Amino acid sequence: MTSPRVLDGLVIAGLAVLPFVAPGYLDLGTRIVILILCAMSLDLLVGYCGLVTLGHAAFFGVGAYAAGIFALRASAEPLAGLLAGGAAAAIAGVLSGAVLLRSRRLTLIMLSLATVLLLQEIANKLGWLTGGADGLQGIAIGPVAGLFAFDLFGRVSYVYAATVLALAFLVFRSLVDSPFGHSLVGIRENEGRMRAIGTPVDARLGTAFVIAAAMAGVAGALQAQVAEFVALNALSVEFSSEILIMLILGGAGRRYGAFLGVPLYVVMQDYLAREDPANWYLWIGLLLLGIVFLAPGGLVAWIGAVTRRVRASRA
Amino acid sequence: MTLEVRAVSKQFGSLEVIRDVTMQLEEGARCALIGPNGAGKTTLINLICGRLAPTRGEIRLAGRNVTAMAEAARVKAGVGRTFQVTSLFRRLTVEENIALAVAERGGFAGRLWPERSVRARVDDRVTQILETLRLRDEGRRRVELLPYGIQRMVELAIALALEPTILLLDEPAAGVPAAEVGVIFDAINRLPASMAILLIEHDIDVVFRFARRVVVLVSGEILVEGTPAEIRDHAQVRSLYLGDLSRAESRDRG
Amino acid sequence: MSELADLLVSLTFYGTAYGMVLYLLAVGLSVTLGLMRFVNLAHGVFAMAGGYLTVTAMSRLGVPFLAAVIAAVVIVGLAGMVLERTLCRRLYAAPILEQVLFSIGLMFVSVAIARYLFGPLAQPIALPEWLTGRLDVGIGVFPTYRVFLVGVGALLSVAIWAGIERTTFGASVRAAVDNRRMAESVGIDVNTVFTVCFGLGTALAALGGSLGADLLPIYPGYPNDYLVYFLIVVAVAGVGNVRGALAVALAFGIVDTVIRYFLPDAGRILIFLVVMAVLFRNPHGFAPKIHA
Repeated sequence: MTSPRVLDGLVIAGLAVLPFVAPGYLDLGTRIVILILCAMSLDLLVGYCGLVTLGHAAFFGVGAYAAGIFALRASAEPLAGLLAGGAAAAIAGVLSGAVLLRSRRLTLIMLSLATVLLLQEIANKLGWLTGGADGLQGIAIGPVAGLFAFDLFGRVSYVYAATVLALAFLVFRSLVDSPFGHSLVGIRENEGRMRAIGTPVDARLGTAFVIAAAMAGVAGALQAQVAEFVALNALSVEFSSEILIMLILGGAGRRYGAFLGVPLYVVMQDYLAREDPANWYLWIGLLLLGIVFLAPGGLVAWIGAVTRRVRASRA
Repeated sequence: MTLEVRAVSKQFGSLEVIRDVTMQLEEGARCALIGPNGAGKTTLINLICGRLAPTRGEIRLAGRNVTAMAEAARVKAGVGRTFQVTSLFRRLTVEENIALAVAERGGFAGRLWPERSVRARVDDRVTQILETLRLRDEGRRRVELLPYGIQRMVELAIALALEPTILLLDEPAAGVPAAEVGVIFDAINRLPASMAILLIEHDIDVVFRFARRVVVLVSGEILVEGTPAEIRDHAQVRSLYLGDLSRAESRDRG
Repeated sequence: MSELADLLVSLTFYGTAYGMVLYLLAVGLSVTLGLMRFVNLAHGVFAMAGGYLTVTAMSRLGVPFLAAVIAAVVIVGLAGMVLERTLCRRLYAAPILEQVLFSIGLMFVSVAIARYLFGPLAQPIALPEWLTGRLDVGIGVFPTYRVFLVGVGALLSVAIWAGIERTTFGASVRAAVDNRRMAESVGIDVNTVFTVCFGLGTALAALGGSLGADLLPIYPGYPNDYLVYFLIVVAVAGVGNVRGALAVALAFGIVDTVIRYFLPDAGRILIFLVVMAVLFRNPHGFAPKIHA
């Protein structure tokens, strides 16, 4: 089995190499990078903690709005805006986690839905702050760290977003390989047993929840800064479902799921939007049903199974 | 006194499953808890380790009232238990199962970054425990693929990894093939003398070989307490375990 | 003062009618969750299907209202049983993530089909003559349609209670919920119990969808937009708690109606905060033992 070290290195190398390999696709690349960051943060909850939630858009949206409002009213410097977005989302994570994490399964899912809908309503009603249904407009972003101004070709955007993703990935893999990460897997596999070995389950899950929220918030902040606009549907259940689907396409709890699933989903969506836009939901629905019954581990698991079979036949 | 159970009762709705139970475990106790099925033995263990809250009464650990303390906190305070129905991390390997407990015991399970030295310490301790239970060869295998007897040993391994001051064993060898029963009780007999052990067991032979004291629980109440010999000679207990005791007696004589 | 009293009575009544529809939509989900531990977020699809079938039967085939509703309920119930036998059953032992993905996939496909067949707009439902107009029920004069909803809801809740507590089948259901293996070893055909229960659950959803079509309009967004409401009823009552589901549905209906009347702008925000506060105190809902 190829060591994670090598694969991790390949991921980062891939991110670095894209602008040279496909310079015309930088806008698409930036969009994919931001969504990967969001899906990776969801992986921490769904894949590693075993907490299925349909409310992750709440943190993405809070981060986006926080960064946008920060740029409009405080400072147009993007790194400070990232901090604002991440911090706001982390606070949202603490508050909503306090309620959500007292339940599991259906109740947790319902509360996660309620959280997104609640925040969407608030964003809608506070039009003077958020732009309401029209979205937050007129965000003007300054140069990154005062040095790198965003250019028309999207180069700076991409390097900026990809660097954030690379750093976040290093944090993610560190978490996953740490004793904390292992204990999350333990909680996922048998929560009762974890309590019986002395694990403070609620505190662990709470910590993971806040970290995931902050990471999604940073993704949202990036989106707001790169697009210089925040749409109300960043805080939608539809978007939450989309991130979940992107993740499980690649495979949840398998380290690279976000990196495989997001590009696949975005490419499929682009293709189908051109060829057969009216039936997008039909195809995605059928794809989901297919994954559930035929390839539950997503792309990562499928690739793993294929490589094992190839190795076995060669041995 | 390491563990004190004071007048503990547990009711589920209108059903009283544990009634006014009082018992102690001193340091180094070797106590067996016996009784017919449905007597409430596992419920009592659940009450002691905090999985259930008593309707009445107190639980004390080393003099401290822990009745309101959550399960995980009591484990940190020194209580370890095994489950009658195996409760393991089935998709993880044996080593990973034990490592989780070692990390919790070591206090670094909450660390957010990996550290090579910590990793090495955990691995060493896991290997040590595997050796104790002769499980070295099974270390890398996933628990769900292992035979039941080996799973019961992993169950015990996890409890041992916690280095508890009080160990509650809920039928540790139930359903285990004869060959492995020996290994399990070997390991139990080699546990630190200072550890207080409460053993739920149905096999009277085992009870008499292991226990210095026996508590008999019937229908949620303590029927009688005493040395194994006293219990064996007790009229009511004899009628409950008639067959087993007679066999044990004739073996002793013969 | 009596105007305020009249207003509150009126709001309570409207809230009760709304709550009855939610009860019908939620009770089937609560039972299948408590029984099979199967998280089916696509439950609203069956309600939507019931609504579409009723409306289609009435407008295209000229079938009278009650007959159309009954036909829709039967068809959806049977379809539910087929779905359970073929697909759902395979996921009972699967992790919750797969069950959720399955239901999302089912929702997407159904919504696409609904949009293709019926277009994106809400289906107008022509209530029969005898349901239009108003009725004096002693405490006030209300639309006959709402009175009908309250009446049907009350009748059904009694029927469901009787079914669970007084029939052999109900006893089998309770046994299977309590301890599946024991129930099997006593000779209860648990698989059939599951299939029938699932079918009954989807049939009840279809009933709620059809009868409630004037309250909750039938359109392709139905399963998505109303999902959170019947999930709230199931979660707050506690999974498998059928009697509780009625009380919670009615309470929710009334509270929601009152909040929307007095504070229309803050409506949704407040009701969600109330639900979160309730679940903060009682994470498992009001059911004693069963976990979601």
